[in-house]
Amino acid sequence: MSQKYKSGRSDSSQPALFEVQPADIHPKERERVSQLIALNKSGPALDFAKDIHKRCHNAASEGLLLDAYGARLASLVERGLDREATALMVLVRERYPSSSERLGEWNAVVAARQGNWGAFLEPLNDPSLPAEKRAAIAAKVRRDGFDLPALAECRTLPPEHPLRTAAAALHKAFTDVTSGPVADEALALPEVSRSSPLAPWKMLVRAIAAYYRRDDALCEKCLAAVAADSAAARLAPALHTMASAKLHQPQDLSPAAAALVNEAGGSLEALRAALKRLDSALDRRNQQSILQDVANAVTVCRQAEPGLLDRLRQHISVRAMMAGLKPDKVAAAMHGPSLKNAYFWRLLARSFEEDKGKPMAIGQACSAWEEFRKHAVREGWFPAKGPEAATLYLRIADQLRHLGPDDLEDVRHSFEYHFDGHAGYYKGQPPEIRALMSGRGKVDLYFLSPHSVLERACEADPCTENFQQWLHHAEEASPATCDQVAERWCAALPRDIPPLLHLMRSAEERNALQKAFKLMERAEHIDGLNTEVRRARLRLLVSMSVRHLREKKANLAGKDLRQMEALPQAQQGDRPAFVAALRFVWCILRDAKQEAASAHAEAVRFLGDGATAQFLFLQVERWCGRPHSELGNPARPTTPLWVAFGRVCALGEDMGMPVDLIHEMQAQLMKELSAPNISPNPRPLAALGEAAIRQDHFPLAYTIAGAGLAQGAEGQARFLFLRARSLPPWEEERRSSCLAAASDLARRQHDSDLLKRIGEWRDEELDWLDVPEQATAALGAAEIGNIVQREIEARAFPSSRPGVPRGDGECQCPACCAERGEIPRELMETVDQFGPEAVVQALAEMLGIGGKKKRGRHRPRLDDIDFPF
Amino acid sequence: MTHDDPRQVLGIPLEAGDDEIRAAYLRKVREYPPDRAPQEFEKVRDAYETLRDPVRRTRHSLLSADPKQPLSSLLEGRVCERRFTGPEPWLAILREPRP
Repeated sequence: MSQKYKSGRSDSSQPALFEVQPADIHPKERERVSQLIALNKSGPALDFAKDIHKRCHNAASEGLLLDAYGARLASLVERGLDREATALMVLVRERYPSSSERLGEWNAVVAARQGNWGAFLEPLNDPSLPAEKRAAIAAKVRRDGFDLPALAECRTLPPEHPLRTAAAALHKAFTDVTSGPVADEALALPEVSRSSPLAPWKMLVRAIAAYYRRDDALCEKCLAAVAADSAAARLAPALHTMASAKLHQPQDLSPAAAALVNEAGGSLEALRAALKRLDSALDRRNQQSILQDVANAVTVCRQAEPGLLDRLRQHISVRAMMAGLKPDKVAAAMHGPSLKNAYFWRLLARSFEEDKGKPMAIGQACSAWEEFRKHAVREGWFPAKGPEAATLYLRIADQLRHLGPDDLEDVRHSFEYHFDGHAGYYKGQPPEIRALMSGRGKVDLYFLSPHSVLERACEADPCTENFQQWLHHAEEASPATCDQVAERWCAALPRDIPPLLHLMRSAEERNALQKAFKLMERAEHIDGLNTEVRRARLRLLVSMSVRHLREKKANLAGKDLRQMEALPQAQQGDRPAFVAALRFVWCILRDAKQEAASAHAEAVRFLGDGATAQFLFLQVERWCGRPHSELGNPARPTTPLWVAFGRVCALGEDMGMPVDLIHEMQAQLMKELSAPNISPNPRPLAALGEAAIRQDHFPLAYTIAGAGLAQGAEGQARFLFLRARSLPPWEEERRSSCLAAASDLARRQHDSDLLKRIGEWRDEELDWLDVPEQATAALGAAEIGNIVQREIEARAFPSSRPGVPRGDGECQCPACCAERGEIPRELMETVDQFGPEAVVQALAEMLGIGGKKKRGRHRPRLDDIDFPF
Repeated sequence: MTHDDPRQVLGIPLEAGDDEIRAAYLRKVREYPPDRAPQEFEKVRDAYETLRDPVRRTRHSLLSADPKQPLSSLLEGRVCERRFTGPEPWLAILREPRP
């Protein structure tokens, strides 16, 4: 009872609320009590009614007091204070015997509150029940009827009573929609009429069904139709929150509603905030904060989105490792290690890949990819063999490409001695994951061998692209295995031409011409129109006929010649002259001088110049191991020497027979090509340049490149490449810029052959030099123009290194240093940097006087030019 | 659309095949026609170009994991799971005293 109200009431100095006679109840007093009851202020209403009854003490005031007691009881029941309500009823019964009828109603209300609706609903069986009483009961059911099973089982009503059937139907529907997906028919609920006090439940059930179907608009629509004063409406805020977080924030909800939201709908906001905090801590690399935020994020995730927990732990493990945290501490903060399935290993491998530039990280990335492969196959991501597995192997091969041979060797050694098969990662993992762990010493380190990795890629997916990569790698790294790779390629893809061409060239290089010819015939059978195959037939026939002529096997050579002459490709360009020259040698071998003279005349006719024919015959006879046969007087030259000899060089290149420069010619060639206003044909000039480079005639090659560049755009890329190769070692910057310009022009002209040659030369010659960045950077048209102009203007071969005077005025060029008995400063710096042994080995390699030589590496001989050291 | 993952852009699962990818592409093109949503359309087209080529698709699905991705991005595109709880948690609200 309100003491506050009592104190106010006992104050006699206060004026009476209403001016009334002591024995009467003023209508305004009655109205006031009703107002307070309606406002749910049952305490003040009861106190006021008690005052009135104390003053009046008649039947009317007792009735008013019992009304107030009724409201008070309802309030207590409402708040779940059943014990207090019962005590109050006992008190009322003792003090006011006239309350017995009302006590029956109150008891019914209390019982209904406790789920026993029998007494409360029993009056509904009376057909003469006044409408207002019936409406009051209905209102009570609508407002408080949430115990649907109790309503459905109400024994004071007949089983077919609409309230019982509606409650039973709603109970089933409510249980169904909150337990799993339901069909539309289950939501029709014809047992529940619109006028039923349980009608709001019908709309609630439909709202819940719509929510689970993710039809949030319908959910909201149904919720809007739920009567606001009904029991069902009390579920609306939680449902609103779950369907749309905008209407109610979780803090506005009651504890039970918040629990429902977490359990049934949840919210990702808390998890998002926790993850953002963790991201921030990881970025700051604050270890203590990271561990706290890890624990928090995992806890929130477990509550809000348990389905994400495994994945989150995996990401946290990898991010924390990248941030330098100890795995044990992170696992403890996560309340357990992350699951080491395929997803984890892929993340781990990618994280190692991010650690660019560290050889061991590359090794670890490869080993993690291997773990990923094993787990992915077990988990059914992809089969053990197929394009996916091949993609993975190629990824490993890509990684290994970043390692030089020495680094790769170091990494392999390190793995052999220290790698434990990721035992630490497998600690605490489920048996099916541990089953894939390789024990220490039992790990197959194939993933550190590019050859094995590419072999596996080709086995997993035997396609042309994969074999191309494998063969390319073999050509670069282990030429001895090339034929084996090509054989495997042929076996897997018998209709592919490239491996046949490779094997053919390989056989040709070994002088196994018969085998090469058979391979060429096989390639012809597959694709007779292939340009390379067609060229190969002619080239092989030339090689075979030259060998037969050298071995004086006239019959076989004759057969070769007849085959050659029958080829359409032998009739193109200057080739008939070449065939005629071979026929000439064959005739000389058979001592058929008449036929020889005829062949000679034929060659002269084809070439249109006796001097050119002379050079051609000279070269062909040399290849065939024959002395030069003089046929009459030497022809009088009608063209410059470089034109005649260049044409022969181009023809030799075309037929696969490289032409040797004649030493005595060099001065004449230099003189002719240094003259102004010559108009050379780029093709023979380029062939002449290649011959000069092949025989290390760098000044001549330099001059040829200059003459070629001066003729305009045609062949500029090739002449820049020639200029780059002809420059002495100390002209690093010029060489780099020439190479860059040549690459760029070749790229623009789609000259893949030249690009390949530039790449190969750069790999072979410049891998040990510190090549300036310009060599690989793309150039603009203006820059290329400047480089070309500079090279055209630089006509003189840089035969000696410009000296760099010291502070005391002494020249620092190698020659001057040598004269003074000093070691050049650059050499001293190199020795300091790499150590004397490495420098000695490098010098020996450069000078070709011992040391480890790279196979196929063609280094220029530098003894005929001014070598810096 | 804020996703960069082509599968998320097209809204298809990891195991979706050629037909599913094409159907998803056409659906998205109808949703984001080039004249009305050019930027979105470009994303859709790029995603389709990546996924239609089996080699690129394989490479992408196998090798595109980003270990440095923000952890909060794990929630991108994730819809809050709606879990069936049975009637009890709902009825617990009704058993609470009225405020």
